Amino acid sequence: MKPMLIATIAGEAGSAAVWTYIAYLFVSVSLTVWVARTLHKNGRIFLVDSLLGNEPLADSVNHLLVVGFYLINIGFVTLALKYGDKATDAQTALEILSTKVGLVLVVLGIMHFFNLFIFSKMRRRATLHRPPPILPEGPVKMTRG
Amino acid sequence: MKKLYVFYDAQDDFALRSYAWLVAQPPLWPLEFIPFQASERMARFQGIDDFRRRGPLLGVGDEGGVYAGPNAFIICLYALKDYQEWSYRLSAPMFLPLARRAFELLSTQGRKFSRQMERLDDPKLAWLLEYPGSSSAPG
Repeated sequence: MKPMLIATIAGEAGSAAVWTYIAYLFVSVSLTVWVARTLHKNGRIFLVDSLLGNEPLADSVNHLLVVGFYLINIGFVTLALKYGDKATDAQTALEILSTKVGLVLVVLGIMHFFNLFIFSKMRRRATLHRPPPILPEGPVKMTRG
Repeated sequence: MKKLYVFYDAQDDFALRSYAWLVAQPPLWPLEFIPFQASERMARFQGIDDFRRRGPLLGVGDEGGVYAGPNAFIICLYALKDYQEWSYRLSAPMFLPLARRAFELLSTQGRKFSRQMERLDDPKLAWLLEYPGSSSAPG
């Protein structure tokens, strides 16, 4: 059913443009999945540390982040599908495909660094609320002066 | 804690060096430095004189809790952005007697050295602090 649909669309237009779109969707979505899986796997320990060892919370945040990541990226990929020049031959098809995939990669990169920035903020906030490791020995009375 | 008052003996070399180092570090909270010799400013803290002979450095939190002896060094490290981790490590019973020596090393040897120390495991670090100058720790 699916290959037939694609073949029909491709055959109908007979054009490089449709093949470019198909290749674009395939490459972009695979890249998104790969990046999301990598982040999910390697980001866990970073999150656990940012959340001061609270593992269940870290796992939950990790999962929610991956869901948001998929939504934003696949949303972006589908929205950006029709914009840009239309391919007329193999050369323009490759050029357009490259531009579009490049844009997706840059957006993925920006999101990635934005996530890291948020985590480091969280980590800093957590250190501000960590209690001192030792107890004071005695009180002094402070007067304003 | 929102603020840390650091009292230091301005006639003590070690305290002066510590002061100079602490001022140069990025803090997590504002630090206010008060020399023991500034009697007017000292008078704002009733009862602080009882702690003066505990060492050349004292820490007082903004709620009035006093940290004296080795704890003074630890609370100073706790208030610094780059050294808060050290305050947790050094407050273990194994390191508390060595806290002054550790503080001295951290504050004189620079950031690179402190990162090297960070990589040592506990017994090796304790050895380094207890026997300064010996380059090799027991295997």
